[in-house]
Amino acid sequence: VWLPAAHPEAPAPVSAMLSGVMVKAGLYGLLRFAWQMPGAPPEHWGTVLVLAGAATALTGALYATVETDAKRLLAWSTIKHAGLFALATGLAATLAAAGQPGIAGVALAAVFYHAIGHALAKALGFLAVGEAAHAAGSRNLEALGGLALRMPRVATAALTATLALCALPALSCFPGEWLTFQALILGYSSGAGQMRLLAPFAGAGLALASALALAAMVKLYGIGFLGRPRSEAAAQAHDATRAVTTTLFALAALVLAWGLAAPWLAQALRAPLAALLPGFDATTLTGGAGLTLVPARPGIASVAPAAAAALLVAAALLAFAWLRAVRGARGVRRAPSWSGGVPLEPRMEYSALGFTKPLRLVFMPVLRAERQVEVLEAGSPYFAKHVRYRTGVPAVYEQWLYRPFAQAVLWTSERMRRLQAGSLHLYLAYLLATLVALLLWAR
Amino acid sequence: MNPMLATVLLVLVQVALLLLLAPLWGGIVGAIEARLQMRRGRPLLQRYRDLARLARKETVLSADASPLAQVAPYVVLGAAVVVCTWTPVLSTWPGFGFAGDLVMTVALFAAMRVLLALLALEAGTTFGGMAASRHLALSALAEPALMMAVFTLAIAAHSTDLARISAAIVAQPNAWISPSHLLALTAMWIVVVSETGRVPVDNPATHLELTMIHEGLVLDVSGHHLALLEWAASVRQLVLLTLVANLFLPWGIATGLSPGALAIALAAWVAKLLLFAIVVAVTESATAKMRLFRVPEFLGMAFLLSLIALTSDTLLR
Repeated sequence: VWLPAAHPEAPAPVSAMLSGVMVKAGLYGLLRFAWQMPGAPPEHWGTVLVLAGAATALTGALYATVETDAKRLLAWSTIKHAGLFALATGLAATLAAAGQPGIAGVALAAVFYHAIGHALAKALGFLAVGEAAHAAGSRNLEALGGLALRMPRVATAALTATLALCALPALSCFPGEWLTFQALILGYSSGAGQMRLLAPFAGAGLALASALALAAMVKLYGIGFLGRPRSEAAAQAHDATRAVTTTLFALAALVLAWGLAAPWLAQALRAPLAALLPGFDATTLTGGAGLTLVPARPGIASVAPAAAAALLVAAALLAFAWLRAVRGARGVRRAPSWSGGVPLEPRMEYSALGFTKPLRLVFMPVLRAERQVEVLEAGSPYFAKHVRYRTGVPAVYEQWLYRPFAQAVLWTSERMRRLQAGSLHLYLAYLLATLVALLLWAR
Repeated sequence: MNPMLATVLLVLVQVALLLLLAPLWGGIVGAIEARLQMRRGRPLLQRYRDLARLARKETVLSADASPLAQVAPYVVLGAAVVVCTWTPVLSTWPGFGFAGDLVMTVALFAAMRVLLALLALEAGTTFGGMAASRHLALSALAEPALMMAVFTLAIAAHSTDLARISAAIVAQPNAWISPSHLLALTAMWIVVVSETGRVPVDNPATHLELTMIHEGLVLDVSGHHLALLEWAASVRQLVLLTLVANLFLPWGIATGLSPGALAIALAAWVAKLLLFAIVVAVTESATAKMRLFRVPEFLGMAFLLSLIALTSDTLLR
């Protein structure tokens, strides 16, 4: 829960490291704890993990949609993905306990695929967004905009990260999510005890979280990089240096490669998966001459990200050739945007806050957003001249999770303060009392 | 015949059917509506003429648009075509099922949606932002409902492969009468209505700012780019309807590749689509569009229905 507060404060490369590596360190701890602790793990802890993971994913995605700070938004998205890790790990544990190592292996492979896929995409996202925020002088989406034309290379990298974090096919987060869904369905059909009740809710939570994360990511790129600049600084932003853009492009290529080559990479996961789950062979995840990713059992389902991408490119090229033949020399012309005859101003664009207002209203009971309208200067009874509108999403989790603890600590320390009256005699009396007590105890 | 060649041929035929008939379905709905409202209406083939005219025109891009605006329309249509390659239209023969399944279909639809929303934000106008915002809010609820509804079938068929789901339901002729199947069908229909931008969620015939969603998304797009997007939208609509027809009500679909069975399947598919067109046209004529903030409740109902469908499947077996 501290992630959204901590990540954005660090400089971009450190945020990238934090999000990419530290969350995975937690994941590593979870895996070690789950599998390699001496003695059997407590029963049902897998179920708890699945439910906690689904809840975490939903919370992260929901808060990401209403966030207007670019880096905090990415941090919330990390929480969504951490929820997915927890969910898949819990799924693997539940299935392994139910004697289904084959399906547990699918869930565990999902964890591995997603850990690396998400680390790549999130690192790229933090670096590109950090670079853009640096160039435009603000992390607030309300002050960005129009960066895609002013810093095209950084924007391309940010677009890749955005699309990857939406878990779109052919990019790095898709294989992990796909395998998680497969494990849910297989686990359900295997009929193992609590899986039959657990899988529908986990699947629904995951689907909802993915759809919400999509809205958040469109907001990040659409408001932050497209349209017109919303501030002077953003209008004067310039592309990053060659060294920076080379790094970004290298990472973007990795994001694409991890998505396209997922089936071939199953070979690399063989050793770690076999170590955690003896008897599970990761190469069964690959089918169709290495082209497709299948959930360890033939005849269930398969996806071939590379083949789908090739088909897509072919179809797009065909469409291009067709239009080329039809339209002849008539191409694309540039003209200023039309806005009903008045000059278009950045203030007329949708703001980051307004962009997800519908979602904020839909989820009002959960988010408990605050809203305050104040009329500063009333011109006439019907038209106020200046209105101050204030809204915010309070951190509900802070109120309910942290505040009781904090208050308990404060309350105790308040009582403790009476002990420290500052009088030397009293302190000597304490010493004496402690001594007597120790003597009595040691006797 | 060589099975590989047969698959490729089948895929080509199915893709061609979906692509070529897609604009017609909207035309049929429009014609039935016009009849119900005592109008003559537009000619059935008007949409093809519109597309052909748009395809010949030059595109005017906003001066604020990024290079993405030049590529995205092609990718959106490409994604629609790719989904067609594994959608069972005439036969439960797998098509290009190796390349994609249900999850991939939903993900590609999501990709189309993301690109459309980004395109709408390119010009920096108010309408684009408004439409993108509403579109994302509504589909954030519709997408999980779609996923859950088809999951109900996927779980029964032990597979997320679309052709296999269809085949499994054909194999058990009485399975469709179970409560979970009917609940999922209801949820799916609500999703289809919302995703295709029909009354009571959106009104495809209006440019009124208070109501439009889909029309607002493409307001700043023109010329041959608009042709691509409009065509892609109609293909997506037809794919969704075909999923309802062949996953939830798969009567008549061929299980092999014999010419006779394929002809029956074609007739059954067309008949089902006509039935859907009548249902949609009557609904649109008889009901008014919902207020925008009532729509989430409508879609929330679809989500809940499909969740109930999933759990009732557990409880009843």
